[in-house]
Amino acid sequence: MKATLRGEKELQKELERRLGKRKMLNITDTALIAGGEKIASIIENDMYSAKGRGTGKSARATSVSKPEWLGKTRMVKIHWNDGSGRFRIIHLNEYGHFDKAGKWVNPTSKGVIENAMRKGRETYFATVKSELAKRV
Amino acid sequence: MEDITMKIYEAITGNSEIMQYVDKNNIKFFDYPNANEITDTVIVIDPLDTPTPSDYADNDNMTFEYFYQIDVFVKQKPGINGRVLSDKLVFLLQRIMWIELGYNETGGINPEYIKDFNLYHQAKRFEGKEYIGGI
Repeated sequence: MKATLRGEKELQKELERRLGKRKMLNITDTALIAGGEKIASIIENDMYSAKGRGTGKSARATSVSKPEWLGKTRMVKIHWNDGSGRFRIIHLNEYGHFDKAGKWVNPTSKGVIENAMRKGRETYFATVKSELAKRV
Repeated sequence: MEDITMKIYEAITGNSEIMQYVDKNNIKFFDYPNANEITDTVIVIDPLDTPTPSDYADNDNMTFEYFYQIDVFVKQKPGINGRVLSDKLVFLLQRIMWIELGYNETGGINPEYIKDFNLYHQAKRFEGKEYIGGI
């Protein structure tokens, strides 16, 4: 089955003509930040529940970046670099690792971040959509 | 209910190119071997999530989503270029998962070389959907 979407570019041009480029960017940025924060809060909650005997510092370090360009795509990043240095060990808890003796460590929080992303995917798109609908 | 872990295992063992490099006993589920005991190439298939119901119709879900992490460990030893071999194995895995099972990749770690154990390690994550009772 094949579906063709027509008029997408024309719609974007018309919106740009009516609102202006700067206003458009402003609208997308607010929508992206709102969506990113929703996802970040889901991730933070899930990480906190899966912290095991940890302190929950990694969970609290979850933060959303400012909107930035990647090529022609506007995006927000979720990162853990809040100045506490926890970003250095996030990947170890997310994927598992060997300890010094060679034993594999399977943390309780293995895969939690990506599972939270999967869970929040639809919420993210819904949030972005509703934020856009509010302002356009 | 299908046994997806076994399905992945069979897809890997059914590929003659990948089996040139990996022994059948070295493809494991859940169980990560001790780094000191890895003498060859080891592939570990690890489910990260229980099947998640999705795609609802008529008040019932039509599909289940599955989520897997596959780790590849290659021991660096004479006669084997671990870096090249691990890259090749990961590439073959990506092809198998996409062509035979239709699972797409969602992410992975930076390829790493663990100096203490002479191991190359790469990990990939795959996500896919299965229809209840087939399509």
